[in-house]
Amino acid sequence: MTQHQIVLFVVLPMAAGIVTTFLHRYRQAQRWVGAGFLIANMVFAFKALATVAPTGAVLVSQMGNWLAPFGITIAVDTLSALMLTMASIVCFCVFLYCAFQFDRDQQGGFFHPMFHLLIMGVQWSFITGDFFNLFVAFEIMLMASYAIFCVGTSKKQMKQAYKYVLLNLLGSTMFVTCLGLIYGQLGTLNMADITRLAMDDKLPTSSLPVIAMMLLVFGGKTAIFPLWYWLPDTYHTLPSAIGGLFAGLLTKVGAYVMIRVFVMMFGTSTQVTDIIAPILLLTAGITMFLGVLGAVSMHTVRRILSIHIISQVGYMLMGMGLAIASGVAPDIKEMAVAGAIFFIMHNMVVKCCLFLCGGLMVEHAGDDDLEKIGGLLKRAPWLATLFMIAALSLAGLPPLSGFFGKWVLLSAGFQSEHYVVVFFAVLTSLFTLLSMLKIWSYGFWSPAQGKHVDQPKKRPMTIGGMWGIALLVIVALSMGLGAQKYYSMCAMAAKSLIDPTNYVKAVLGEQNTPEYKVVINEPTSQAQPMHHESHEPAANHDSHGH
Amino acid sequence: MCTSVILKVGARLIVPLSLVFAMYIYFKGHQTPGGGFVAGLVASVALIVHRMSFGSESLRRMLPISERYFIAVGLTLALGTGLGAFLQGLPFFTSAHGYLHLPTTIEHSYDFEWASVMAFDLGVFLVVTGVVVGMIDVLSKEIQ
Repeated sequence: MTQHQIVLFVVLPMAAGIVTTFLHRYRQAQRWVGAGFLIANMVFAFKALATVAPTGAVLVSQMGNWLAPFGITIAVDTLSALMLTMASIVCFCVFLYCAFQFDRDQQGGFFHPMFHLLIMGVQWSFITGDFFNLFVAFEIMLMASYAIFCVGTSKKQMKQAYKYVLLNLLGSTMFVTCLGLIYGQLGTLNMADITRLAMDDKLPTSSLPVIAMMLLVFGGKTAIFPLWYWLPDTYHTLPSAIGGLFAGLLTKVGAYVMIRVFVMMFGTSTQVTDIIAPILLLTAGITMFLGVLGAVSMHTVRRILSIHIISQVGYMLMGMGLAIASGVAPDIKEMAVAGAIFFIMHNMVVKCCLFLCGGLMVEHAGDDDLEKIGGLLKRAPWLATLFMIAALSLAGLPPLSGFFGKWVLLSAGFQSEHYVVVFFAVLTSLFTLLSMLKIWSYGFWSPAQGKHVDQPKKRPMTIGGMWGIALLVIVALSMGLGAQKYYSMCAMAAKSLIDPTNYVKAVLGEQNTPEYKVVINEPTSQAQPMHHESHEPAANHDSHGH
Repeated sequence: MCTSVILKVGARLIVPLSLVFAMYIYFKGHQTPGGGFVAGLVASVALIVHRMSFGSESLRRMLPISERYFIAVGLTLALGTGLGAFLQGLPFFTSAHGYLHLPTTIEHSYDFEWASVMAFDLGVFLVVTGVVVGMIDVLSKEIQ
């Protein structure tokens, strides 16, 4: 894959969105076109991964050929490529499920265009190298998700949609405020450029509150401890497949951005990490433990799964926190980040898979309240098998994927002597197993009592959904059985995140590290001459470009 | 629809003038303030004034295709602009530009600077018009 081709990750879903808009009256055509674009998307994601992962190279394309800190950069490094690959697989599987299981109403209107535009937003946020552009990508993703929220609308769903829209509007407002403040203080919004400033220790002290405020923005998106209240209320009202898409992608985009921002961009600056790292570690413990307690106390499949998302986010936070905590050896930091990346990938696949299983359970039993269903083991043995594999991966039983993610994170925690968070992580794992077994024993194992299970004549068509689930389970299994291969790619990604010199060089160019950046905040008169001379190279740089 | 005679007569003047003005802003936008976004807003104001004075059936006659296709066509244009550069192996959205000699009178001519980004701007124009007119059309149908 050549470097300019990376823009295809935005272009393909956008083109799919446009084509399906034109075809919005022809449901069959929309499905085939959508599937074609998603497969192409998957192929390109694999190609990008094959290009960057072995060497840790960075593919960079400057939009409109404008040079780096001035124009918009998109860049694919190993972390982005890993995320893109997993996201494209998840999208394809959810699409299979939606195309086959959703009835005419649910696929009607502009569901298909919105689905593709959501993917566009997600992939865009994975590849962008510009902060403001990240905001735009988030907005596209959110706009599409608002529209998808109204799929197959029920009154309950609309009520929760209001909450979701309002909270996300608040988050976006805060985000754009942060960006304005950062631009005012650092004079740049290019991620590589900000990374360079942090590496050279040139962040002004006054930018620290803004950076801490960003934790609030991304924390809200990712649903970390004090900001998670919106998630369990909203996700369980959605149709399961949509819940799976949101759980597999939206919260994970937040986690990805947190890694990008707090580990890569500001991770090298001790004055930032001194503030952020303790907060991350503290919220990690609380998030994972409270989340899983909530899951244990719930009684419907979708509620259990959606509150579970929160608890899993805790593990990702733990990895990030360890990666930037002070007094941790560099190789352990790398291990922690690699663990967090592995865990995000594992979680995208497994969580989405469980949501899809939940959807098929509803198809079979007519409900997903665990008090009212049962006996699905006899009625749908394959669904039960796939569910069991996915559930045990989530709980982290060896040799499944969750085990390796947690094992890396826990050993990084042990070696850096953060015993408290390790203790909570182990405890959370146990409760996770408990909550998964609860779905298993009530839904599949117990005697039949469901609305539809009693009358076995009406069998729903579930073959399309089953294919989606099976594909996800295969990926999850490969992550468990071939963990070494996946982990070495994660380690490669982690290495370039802990020491982002390569990324900065790839984006800004070898010689283009102009000293035009100024801290304008000094009110003294001495700042004036420095201000002038530092603007000159910028002008040179500009003329050099054309 | 209960609309006054004054509005109906006024609309006959306002609508074509605003549409021409929208075109002017669109062409002006490359080097000076203006561009597809503002032009789209001006054009949609004209269309909405038309709808207010003559009703939504008259607007349908004026725009025979649904506003949704405006959005889709606009996005296609915007995407196509980027793809043009991309297919030549340049970074996405790399702009091409040149000059067009437009003879205004016999001895004078006007060098019009064209750029490929104008197609992108036309896309923005269509998207903005489609969104604004479509939204106001749907909302005012709800109110009636």
